[in-house]
Order: sequence, then C-alpha cells, then structure tokens
Amino acid sequence: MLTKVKEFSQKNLYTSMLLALLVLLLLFFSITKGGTLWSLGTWNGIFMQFPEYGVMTIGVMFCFISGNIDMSFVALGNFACILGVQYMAANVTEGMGNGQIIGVMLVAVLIVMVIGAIGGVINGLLISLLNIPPVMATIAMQLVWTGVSVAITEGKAVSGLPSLYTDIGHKMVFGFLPFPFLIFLIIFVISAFLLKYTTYGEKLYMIGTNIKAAKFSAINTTGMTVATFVLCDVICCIGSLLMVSTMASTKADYGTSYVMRCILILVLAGVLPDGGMGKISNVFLAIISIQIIASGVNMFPSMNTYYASLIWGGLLIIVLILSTKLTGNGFFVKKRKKSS
Amino acid sequence: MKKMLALLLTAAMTVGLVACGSKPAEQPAQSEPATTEGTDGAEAPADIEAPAEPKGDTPTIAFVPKVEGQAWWEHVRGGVTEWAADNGMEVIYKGPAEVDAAAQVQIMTDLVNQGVDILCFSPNDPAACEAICKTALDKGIIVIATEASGMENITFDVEAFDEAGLGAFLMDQLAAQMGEEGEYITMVGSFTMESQNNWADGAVARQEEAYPNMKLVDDKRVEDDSDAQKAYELTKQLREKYPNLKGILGTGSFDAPGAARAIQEMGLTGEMFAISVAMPLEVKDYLADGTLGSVALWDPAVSAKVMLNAGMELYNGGTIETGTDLKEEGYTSVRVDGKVIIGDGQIAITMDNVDDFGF
Repeated sequence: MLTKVKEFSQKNLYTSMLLALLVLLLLFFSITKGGTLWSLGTWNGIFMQFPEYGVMTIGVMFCFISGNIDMSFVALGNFACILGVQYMAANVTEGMGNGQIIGVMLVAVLIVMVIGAIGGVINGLLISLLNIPPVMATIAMQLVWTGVSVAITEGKAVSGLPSLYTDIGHKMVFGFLPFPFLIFLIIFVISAFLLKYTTYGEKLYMIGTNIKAAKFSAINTTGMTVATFVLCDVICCIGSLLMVSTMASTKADYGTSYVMRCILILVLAGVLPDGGMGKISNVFLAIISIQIIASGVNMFPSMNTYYASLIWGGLLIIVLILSTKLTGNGFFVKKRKKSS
Repeated sequence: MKKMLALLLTAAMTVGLVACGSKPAEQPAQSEPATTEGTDGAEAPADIEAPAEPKGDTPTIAFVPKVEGQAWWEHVRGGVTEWAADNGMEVIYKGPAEVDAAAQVQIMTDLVNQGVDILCFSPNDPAACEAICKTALDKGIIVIATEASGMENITFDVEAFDEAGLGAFLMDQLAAQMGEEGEYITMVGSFTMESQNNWADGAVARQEEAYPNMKLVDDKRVEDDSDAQKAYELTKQLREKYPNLKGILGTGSFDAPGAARAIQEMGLTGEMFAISVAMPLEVKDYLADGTLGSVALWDPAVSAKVMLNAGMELYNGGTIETGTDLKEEGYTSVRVDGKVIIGDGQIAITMDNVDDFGF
C-alpha cells in the first residue's frame, strides 16, 4: 500500500502535492470552522465563485503549455463584454418574450467571443510573426484594451442587463449544481479532450517543449501560436461573461486581480510558463484549493484578507522548492538543461 | 521516503501558516460575552432569519471596505474595532487586498453564503454589487452601504453630508477666515464632476444668504483638472486678474493644497485664503504655518460606526426615519431621503486634529 502511494506520488508529483494540500485544507478548516465549512451555503458559494476565474485559468493554461504567457485576457474580456453588454442593453426591450431575450443574449455572447478571437489573433501575430516577447506584447495589448474600454465607457460601469442574464450567476441547475460551474465543467471537459486526444494537443506540448525542434518537424508554429492565443482568449472571454453575470455589469477594470491569481494557480498546478508541461486535472485541484483558502480565510472574523495572499505566496514557494528538490528536474534544473 | 517526509513538511508548514493567522481571530470570538441592548424577544423582527450558528440575539455583522491596507481604510478599521469593543460585539472586517470590484464581490459572496445578519460595505463599484446585495436582501440580511446613494438592492445607504450642506460648511469656514468680507471665486476639479459643482453651488448660496459683504468676482468657475500644480498656477493667475481676490473656495482635494502653495509663494499668508476638501496629512504643513486655516473632511470611521448603529437599530426591530438618533456626533438627528440616510458629518481639519487620521 505504502509503496503504491510512494510510486504514485513519484510519478505524479504535483497531483500528490495538491491532493495532500486539499486534504490538509479541508482538515484544518473542518477542525477550526467545521460548522461553517460543511454547510450547503459555503459549498454553493465556492462552486459559484471559482468558475469565473477558473475558466480564465483554463484559457491561460493553453498559453502556458505552448511556452507563452497572456497578461491581456482580463482587459480584453472586459472590452469584449462592454460591447456585449451594450448590445444587450440596447436590444432587449420591455415586453420581449424569454425566447427573444435568449436570442439577443446568444448574439451578445457571440460578439464577445468573436472579439476575444480577434484579440487572440493580434496577440498571436505580435508574438509569432513580429517576435515580440509574449510578456511585453500582451502587457501592451492589456493597456490598449483597457484604454479603449475607458474611452468608450468614460470609465463608468456598463449595466442594463436583462435579469435572465444576471440570473446565470446564481442559478442552480437541477436544484444543486451552480450554472457557472456547469459552464466551467463543459470547458474543462472540452479542454481536457483537446489536450489529450487531438493532434493539436500533441503539437501544443511540442512547441512548448522546444519551438525550434517543432518548427523543424514541419509544425506550423505561427499557426499554432495564433490558434493557441485564440483558444486562450475566447475561453477567457467566457470567464469574463460569467463575471458579468455575477456582477450584473461590466467595467474597464473589473477582475484585474484575476490576472495574477490565474498565473499563481497555474504555477501551483505545475503548468509553468516555460512550456511543454502540465496537466489540466492538476489545474482543477489548484483552482479548488485557492478558492477554499480564500473562502476559508473569510470564515475567520478578524483575519486579514492578506493572509490569503500570504498563504498563496507561501504555497507557491513551497511547491517550487519541492518540485526542484524532489525530482531533480524541476523548474530551474530543467531550464539549465535546455539551454546547454 | 524523502518525498513522504517532504510532503509532511509541506503539511506542517501550511498548517503552521494558517494557524498563525487564525489564533488572534479565535480568541476574541470565545471570550467576548454576548450582551446587547435590545435582547427582548418581543422586539426582534419576525422576518429576519436566525444566524447560521445559534448565538442568541447577537447578530453576525460584517463590514467590507473598498480595500484593506490603505491608511483611509485602516482608520475605518480602527473605528469598527472601537465600535465592536464598545458594544461588546464582534464585527468581521474584511475587504479585498487590491482595489478590484470583482475581488470585493467575491468576499461579499463568501460572507453572504456563510450567513451574516448585517452586511455593511463601501462598494468599489455600486453597480457590481447589486446582484450579491439582492441575494443578501432575499436572505433577510440587513444591507447598509455608504457612498452608494444610487443603489437599489440595499436596506439603507449612509452619507456623511448632503451636497448643499458641505458647500455651506466650506463657505462658513472660508468666511470666518476672510472676516466675512472680500472677493472670492470658486474652484472645482472638473466641470463634469457633479458632486463638486453641487458643493460649489451650495457654498455660493450660503454666501448670498449669510455674508452680504462677500462678493463672487466671477460666476464662472475655474477648473484645475484635479491637479494641484494647475491649482497653484491658476491661483497666481487669478490674483493677477483680480488684485483684490481674497478667497479661493475650492472643492476637490487638490484645490486647497495647490492654492496654498501659491499663497505662500506670493507672500500673501494672512491676506488671501483658500479652502477645500483635503487629506489632512497633505495639507499639514500649510496648516502649521497658517497658510490654510482649515480644510473640510468627514471622518470615515464615524460614518462606519453610524452604519453599524443603523444596522443594529434595524436588527433590533427599530426604524430609521428623519430625526432618528444614530448615536454619533453629526448623526444625532439624521435626514432620511428614500433609502439614503444623510448626516451632518462634515468636520473641519485644523492643527488640533490633523494627526488623528493617519492619512
């Protein structure tokens, strides 16, 4: 039994670390705040809260695996949603049937996703054709999208959504399954399929591991980079759409703290921006852990929110150290090998 | 084996980290005896649900600031802590670590789901909070906002002052410094800032009513783009244009600091005066050397206490209407307009209290 556990944890370092973390978190909060933790309200909350940035994290995961990074996704999502919300606000009129309203909503969602795709194409081209480092290119685009958003909204929040749309954020499917979580689940399953069973997924890990080698193996790296950013930014825009429904409005700077949170989750899950590695199941475990920490800290009356950041940061360091020390081919060692 | 050890180590460190944070939180929770004024069962309103954990008649109260760790909000935390100690109650004070509406809504969602009875908050963006506040109201939670007078899904919004009242207050201060006579002009951060223009209107109205020897030299306002440097340049230009100009009635928080620098440089301290709303520590030097007599502000910690008092009043089955006493200076007889509770909370910042705030 013990040897089996040992074998599993050696093969799946991040998975076992995250599972251990999850068990510890649940144990800790059960002991200290059992009554509050194990209530339906808390878990409904947790499963309603993480999908909006959880979806974004999955999007950015594709970028990371390909060896890129995206800093622009929140700003782009906000810009797209501003147009989407304005479209909905303008086209939903009093006395419309639910069917018609759903029609308008679908068009708005489509608008948002198309803008997301355009943003992805721009990111991809800047990086693969013009060879601008991904961090620089996407930070520049982040500024561009934020600027445009502020310009068209004068920095104000845009609201006026149909209640049918704002209900999404706290609707229960079958009475217990939060709708945002359902969306998250769908995207999760599709993404897992893409990574595991398609040639796209295979190529993605290849260009992430060594883009030069991939190029010489007749992989269209420009096409792959653009496609990856499109995928990333479209998924991130879906995350933004969920955020819009919980906040019943959108604004140029909503969710700016999610950029760092998504990156933190990915690194915690062993998806490093170095590229070529990472498993989506670990990403899921990391998302849940991060949300449990956040909600858990909020259960303690006088515990500063900074403790959540503190714990997140501490965990990140521990995970990075462990992955380096234990496998001997962790983050830093791997890098050295690559460059030699 | 090494790996198992390491995993255990991680575990220990995590628990250690979390435990460190939680200890101070736990102690007051257990040692604080729960006695409040309104414990008669008869007074408890029927439509409010019992707290998640049975705690008798002590409500679970949460206060969500815009952000944690900034001087303004640390000052508010001090007020909230003081209120909790005075009332023998516990208040969950929790805001986002960054100024982000989304992060703030997440915290409010946690609190609402974990079951609070009174939720006080200061929204980063009122529109973003409507949905979660509606959920809160549906659950029977008392929702008290501040600086969010346009919000729908709240029980009440607390405002420290009304716009005309603050304008009149600014004028009273300036008039006292000017000896109730002489020429003055009004300055705003921007023509499009509705509130600041309303304050200026209130100030001019007050002057017309109470200070006949004062004269507004130009109906047109000057605009400093919320920039102290521009306020400084404008003050110099204005004094050239109107050699008898004696007072600058500013509104935004850049007006008085900028004007004061100009007054000091021109050597007109004691002859020319300026006022506006301003952050105490930013104008401390000018207050110290007498360039500025006072600036106006409201105490956000007092507003916070008033919000908590209002929440308790409603929790205990009371009502809030014009004339209600919310037990803080400036709020002993509030005005209620729809869902907005308006106090008389503006205060003058002088050398006596400039250090009381930490900002």
